[in-house]
Amino acid sequence: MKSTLLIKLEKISSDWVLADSGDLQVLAALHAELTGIVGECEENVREAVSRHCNVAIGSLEKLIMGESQDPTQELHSISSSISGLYSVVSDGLPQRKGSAPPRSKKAVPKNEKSANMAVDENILRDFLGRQPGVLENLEERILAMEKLPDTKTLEDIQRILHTLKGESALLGMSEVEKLCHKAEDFLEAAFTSGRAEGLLQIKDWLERRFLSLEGKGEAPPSVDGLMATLSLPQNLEASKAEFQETPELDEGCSQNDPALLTEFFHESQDHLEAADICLMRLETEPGDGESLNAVFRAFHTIKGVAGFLGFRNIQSFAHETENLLDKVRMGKVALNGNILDLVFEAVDSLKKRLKWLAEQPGKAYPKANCEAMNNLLRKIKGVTKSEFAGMPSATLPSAKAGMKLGEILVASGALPQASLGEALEHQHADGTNAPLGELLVKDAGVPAHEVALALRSQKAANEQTASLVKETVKVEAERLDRLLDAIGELVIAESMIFQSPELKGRKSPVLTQQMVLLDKITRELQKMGTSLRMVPVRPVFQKMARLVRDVSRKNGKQVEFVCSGDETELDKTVVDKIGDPLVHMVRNSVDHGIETQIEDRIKAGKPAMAKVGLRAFQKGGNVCIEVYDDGRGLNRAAIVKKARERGLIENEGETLTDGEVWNFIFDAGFSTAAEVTEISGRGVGMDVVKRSIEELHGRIEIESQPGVGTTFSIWLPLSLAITDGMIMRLGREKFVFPTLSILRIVPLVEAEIFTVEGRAQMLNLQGEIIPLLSMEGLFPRFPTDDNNSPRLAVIVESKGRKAGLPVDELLGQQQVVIKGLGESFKHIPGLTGGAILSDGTVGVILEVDELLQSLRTEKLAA
Amino acid sequence: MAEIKEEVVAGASMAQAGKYLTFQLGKEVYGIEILKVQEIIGMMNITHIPKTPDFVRGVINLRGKVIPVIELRRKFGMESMTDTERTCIVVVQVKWADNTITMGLLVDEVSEVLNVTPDQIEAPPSFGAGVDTDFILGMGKVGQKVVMMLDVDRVLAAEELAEVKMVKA
Repeated sequence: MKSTLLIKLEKISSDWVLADSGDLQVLAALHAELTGIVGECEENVREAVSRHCNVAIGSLEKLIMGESQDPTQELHSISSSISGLYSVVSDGLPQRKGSAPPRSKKAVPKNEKSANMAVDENILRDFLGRQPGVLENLEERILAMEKLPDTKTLEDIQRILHTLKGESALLGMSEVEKLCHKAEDFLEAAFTSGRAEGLLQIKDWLERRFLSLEGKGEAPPSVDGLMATLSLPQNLEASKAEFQETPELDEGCSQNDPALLTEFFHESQDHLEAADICLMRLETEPGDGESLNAVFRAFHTIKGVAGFLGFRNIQSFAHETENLLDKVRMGKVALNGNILDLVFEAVDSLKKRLKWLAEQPGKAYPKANCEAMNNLLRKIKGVTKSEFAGMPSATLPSAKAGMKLGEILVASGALPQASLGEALEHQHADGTNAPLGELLVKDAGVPAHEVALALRSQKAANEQTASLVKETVKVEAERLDRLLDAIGELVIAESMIFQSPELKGRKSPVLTQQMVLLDKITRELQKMGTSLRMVPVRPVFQKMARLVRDVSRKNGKQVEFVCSGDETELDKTVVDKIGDPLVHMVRNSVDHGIETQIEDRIKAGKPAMAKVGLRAFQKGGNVCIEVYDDGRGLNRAAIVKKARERGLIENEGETLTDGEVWNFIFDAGFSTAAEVTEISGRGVGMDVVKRSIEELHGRIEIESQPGVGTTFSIWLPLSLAITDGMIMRLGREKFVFPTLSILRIVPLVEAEIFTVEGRAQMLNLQGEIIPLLSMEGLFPRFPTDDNNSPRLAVIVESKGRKAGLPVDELLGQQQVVIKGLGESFKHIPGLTGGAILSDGTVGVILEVDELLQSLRTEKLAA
Repeated sequence: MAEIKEEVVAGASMAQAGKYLTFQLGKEVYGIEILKVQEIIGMMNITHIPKTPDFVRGVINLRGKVIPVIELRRKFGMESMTDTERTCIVVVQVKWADNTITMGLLVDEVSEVLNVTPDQIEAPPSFGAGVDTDFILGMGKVGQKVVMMLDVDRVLAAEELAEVKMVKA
């Protein structure tokens, strides 16, 4: 008996979590199921069960009837009722001794730890695996919101938080669930300043929590601490409560300081007056951008102050109007008569509303006026939203993604709220589950055309959301490598077929055609294969956006972060490792690069808002990442002075080029900062930068102009697994020299070689004497042909020391995939690994630095 | 700990009955448990790797994977022989620590797959010092032939290859 109930509940809760929470049909089904459950449960738990059920059913009804003004709240109460139901029912089960915990994985236990134990490992791992992406996404949206809080961004954030809340509840992470709920509250508070800050803190906490669950890093302090420090914006609780009780546009905020209120009213009236005048101007001159901006500003200011004072409805009203104006400003909506009328109306009703507030503080706004305002709001939203869905305004009813048919129709005014309720009742009463649209046409007498339009716009809106999410598949890195191996082999096999004399002998046009096709497909496959490991640098750039924001806040600078080219792709290993150096550089740019005093910037003729940016682009086989700022630039005199103090140079450095001077800042411990700040100044950062970039086989360049700004350019190879190499033959063997380590290749002329002590050879290279090493000396037992003496010398340089390596022949230049020589060899000094050459054989890739280094240590040992 | 390990090795070093791939080195016949063999490939270009012991002939490209090739003759202290048409590489899977690694064995010629029954197996001979029979699990007498059953895991003990760093001129 109980277990069937449990199964039923399991189904309900999974349906609930999976369901699109706005789908009326699902809600109706859920309604029916919940009603049934009360009768099914046993005596001892019936009371508790029916209590939970009633709460859920109540919320469901509100949702279905569209009565709720705060669907999120309802959704949450349904979720918690379902989980409550679950614990009641599963707790009521007779506990079998020694048996496994309740069969449910979804029960919400009191203790988080035990919950995690009970949860299926795979589900948890999958969940955790997805979180970094989710959180990144969240952070991006929060930052976007801070810049421009448009409805879409807010909705996105809400969606992310809500999903996270649902999932964590499922996994029994009550802390996470609690926090997400709090975050949702926070978001709803529509309290702009400080909102982003709080949300970011929440995001950070979540990140740490998830990492600790994965076993990386320590668990964050208890969530309660964070919750306590998150000061909820004033009046939130009040306005929220009020909001639920009086869903219509109408509130009274009596708790505010009267002086503040008066000021707000006067200011707002002034703004609205100004807006009126500008609107009139726009009537005659629709292209007048300045006037449009003025109107925009008026609404924006009112929105901000209203939000601050807790006039939630005024705020959202102003916000919607602002959205509309924004569309106009961006040229997405033509400012024609209709729209102007709407804006005029908006100004008028805001005026009226404010007047009421000023004269009758604390009194509810008359019902009729509210109605009018709501209608207007709907109209405005309609225009803005239909544009969102890519529809010509007014022809299609407005629809947001995830909106239900009924909602769309009600919103467009084609269907009265009451009839929708009736139709829905009807729908689940007769249990046929007939589509709502049909019922509406049949029973409620809604014109079929209207329903069709609504359906179309619903589809369009949903599709739009769907297209935003790129589908990805997670694959083990090892499988990927195997695929790449197979592709590599295919390429080689293909080229061997092409070279085979049997085929070359045949002169068949058809065969040639087919071979060309095969070749094309193979190349395509190869290209795709190498691109598989490539990921965009976006996540790293996003982190920098956050960093700039935090650092600039901390030292009170106004800095705008701009980034471009974040879709540029690099090998995953490189992307993972580039984050650290970028952190240092961006931090330096904000901390040192940007002028401390805004007056200094203004004096220099620069905008007060400083700019720090990241730019990535591909050039040839390399990717360049630039960190730039429009700050004061590097101070040559200070750097030279410091370099002298540190004994790096002896004179005043007049002969040094700028580039050489700038390079001093990469020296460990080099800092011109007068004092060490919390963020930087110890001279460690740039040293770290240089090292990490060298590790990635990249290089860094600095460009700086005093007073104009500084640009750091990091050049990186596309991939760590691929290197550009010169293929050389020596005897029977082929070697790959990384192109970057070759200075030049010179022909060996007998006259320029002389010996030392009869054995060691030296090479006179245009007056420069460098040692000529022999492969036999470097690699004992190296099989060489004695008949041929090497004809070329490859000149390499390592740590300022040059050396020549004799080779027989230069076979060509090729991009090679670096492969290990197999585990059994581990690391052989002087060799990077092997590369499969175009003829299918393996070439040994030399590591020049190590090669020369090992020679040196051997000398020491001897 | 070391003792336990030795016991395990001793336990494992009994030749098991079953199918063996046999190959020749000169006139001697050796067998490898068929389950260890991945494939047999013809002679191909082998790239010499500097600073490795002399029994390591080099590496080959096995369908995109670089694997080492061991010259068994050298490993057993026999004379090297110039490669012939019948020379081939037996690719085997070797257990090393917790990993399985793939390696190639350069042999004179592959003969056949033999079924060795338990009664055909005899304990490995002991010659005292001089001849290392550590990696011979047993002797199989099948018909007229005597097959030396190799413990591939030990013949190609990867530790030996890892020691290449020690090799100096």
